[in-house]
Amino acid sequence: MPDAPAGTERRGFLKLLAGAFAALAAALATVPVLGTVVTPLMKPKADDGGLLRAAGLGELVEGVPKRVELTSVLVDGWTRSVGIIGAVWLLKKPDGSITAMSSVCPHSGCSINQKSKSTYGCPCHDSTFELDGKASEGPSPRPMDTLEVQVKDKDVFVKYRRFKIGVPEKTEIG
Amino acid sequence: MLRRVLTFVDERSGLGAWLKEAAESPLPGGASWARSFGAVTLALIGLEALTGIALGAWYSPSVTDAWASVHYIEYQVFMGSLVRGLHHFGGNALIVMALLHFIQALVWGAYRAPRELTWVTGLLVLQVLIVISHTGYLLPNDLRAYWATQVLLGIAGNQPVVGAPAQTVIQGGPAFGNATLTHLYALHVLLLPAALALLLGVHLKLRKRHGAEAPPGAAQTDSTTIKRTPYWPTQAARDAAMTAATFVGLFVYTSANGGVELGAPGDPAVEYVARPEWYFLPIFQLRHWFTGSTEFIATAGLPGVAVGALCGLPFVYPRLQKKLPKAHALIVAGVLGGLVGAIGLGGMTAWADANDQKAIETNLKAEKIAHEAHRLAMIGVPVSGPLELYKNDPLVWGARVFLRECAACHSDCTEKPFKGVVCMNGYAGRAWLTTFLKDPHAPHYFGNTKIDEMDAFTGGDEKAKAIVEFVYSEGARTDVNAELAAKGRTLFDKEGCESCHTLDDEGSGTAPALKGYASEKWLEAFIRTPDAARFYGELNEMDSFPHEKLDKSELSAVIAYLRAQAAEPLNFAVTTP
Repeated sequence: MPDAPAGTERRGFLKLLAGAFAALAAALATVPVLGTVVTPLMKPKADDGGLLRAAGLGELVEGVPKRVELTSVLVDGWTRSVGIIGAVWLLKKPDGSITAMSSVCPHSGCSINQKSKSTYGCPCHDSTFELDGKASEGPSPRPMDTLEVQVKDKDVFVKYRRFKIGVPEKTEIG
Repeated sequence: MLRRVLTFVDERSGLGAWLKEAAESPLPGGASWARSFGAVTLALIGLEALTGIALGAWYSPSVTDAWASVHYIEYQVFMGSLVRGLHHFGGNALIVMALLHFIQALVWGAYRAPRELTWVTGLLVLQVLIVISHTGYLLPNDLRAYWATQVLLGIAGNQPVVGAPAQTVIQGGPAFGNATLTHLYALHVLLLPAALALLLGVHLKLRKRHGAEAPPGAAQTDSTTIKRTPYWPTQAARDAAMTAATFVGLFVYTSANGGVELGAPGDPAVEYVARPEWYFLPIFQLRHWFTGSTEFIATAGLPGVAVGALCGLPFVYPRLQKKLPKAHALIVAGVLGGLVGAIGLGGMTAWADANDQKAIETNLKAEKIAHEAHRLAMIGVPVSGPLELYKNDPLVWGARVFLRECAACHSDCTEKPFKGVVCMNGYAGRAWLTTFLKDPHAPHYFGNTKIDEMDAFTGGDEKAKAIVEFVYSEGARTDVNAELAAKGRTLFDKEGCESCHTLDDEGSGTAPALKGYASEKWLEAFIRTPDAARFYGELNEMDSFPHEKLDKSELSAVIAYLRAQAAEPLNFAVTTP
């Protein structure tokens, strides 16, 4: 063909066009989809920061631990409900101050019970804790996790948090 | 390194040879834009699959969760509204492209031997696409989807013989419910896509076997001398360009529309004028003429005959052509005529709807409910379902309770002529009290009741204004003109109002006592016992609403709604018959 070079140039241009348009279409189809996929990474950590009412001051007896379940609003994806989000052990000390400890065992996450008048125990692997939360026996890598407590009027409020289990450091998880 | 990997793969898969064959596959008559419709259809199926997977990762098919999860996609998922829009409008574009591809194949005569089966599988693909698309339309379970589902299930149920069991199977039980949504979802994302993949595979395999068809003009040329162009790159560039243009168009359209509308949650208590998607409007229109026992003619008979005739076309064509040399032209004209007829039928519905004021008003009301629901759902939807949302707002909830319990008698004030009893729009507001005072026996007030004791107030505007302010002040309002109200208090006695409307909790036995009129306490007592001596006594015509009929939370909601009416402008004019 006499105009072969021009034809080759045209073919080259068409190849470029075909590639560019195909790439554009593919990008338009995939970018928004990837956007939805990474949504969970972009959501701010759920901050229920507020204090939850745990008990009335009058319900606590000095030196006797009391287990209470905390009720809060649960937002799970698109649903909202009110339910129990966890349990804590409350203890009134001789000086009148109150401590709260998560009932989640730092070893592997079972629910800690009272073992004797002066100890707590985890039923799963027999970790034992003293009333102040110190791990005295068993595999627990750290003491029971303390939580922030506030007393307002005649009610005890607790800031409920969860912590990483199985490690010696108390590390909050979202 | 890369070259070695490619060589390895190529040697074992034959991928290179396959790509080369596809690139070099000859197009008789050269590249053409009309050839691109099939390719764009394929690309759109890809887009639907991709966006569909993204949506499927967030969607939950149940009566309590479907609407809530779609709301979440629309407002909380990053780019969720865009993906849902692309999926929705892409599905519509897909049907359009598939139809264009169908018309191209028809005009080019691609139904003729040896492509009979390519034609038939293509038609089946189109059917599957339409059903996939319409099952998707129902999944958000908003008002439109909910009512469209009711209609669809009804149509299935009305088919002769198989109808009733078919309906029960599709809805997954004796009535619409959770299982209906899971069934529709399984159809939309599992069964139908699998059927589509299979049919499409056969369709494309056959296309490869028989090669590309020549355009109508070029087909006349001797097959040995016809010009052939390889697919790559001339046709490929057109396919890619049309695909990119379609996708860009979908982006622009979706953004311009702010995504796809999500109506109020599906609700048996809210009216909605539901229409199917545009491609079903011809059948919708036919149902106007085929009702009752002949309905299946519109919903299954005629569409079935049309699809059957198109599928049979390649097989009767040789005989037709022997008798009529111009058979192809006649077939094209006939099918296109049928399509134009279908568009005309659909157009009739669209035209009628655009001019149906009542339907437009009904859907505008539904749109208001949708705005409320969207606002209330931003903090999460109750686990018991989106219809519980309204309980989070006493005014919205009160309006709904009012609609359910009260509106049968206290009907819509805008109705003409007004046939209800005492109109509650603007209730106990200044405008309402003034018009009432001047004409208590107007149809909007006591006109349609047996009460005829009260005289119209004729003492002039100035006095009326003061009396109204006084009665208004009894409702514990925050915007009372105390001076005017005090003046009204004196007039209330002087003008003789107090002789019937006492200002205590006892009443006179002839008219309601007005101490604390329209306050929360007064309304609570009145709604519970309108027949008490302090209210209408023996003259009472209203039902009483004890706790069993209206629990405390519903009563407070209705009261909040009624008290908020005072701030609403009157939407009716008081007329004296």
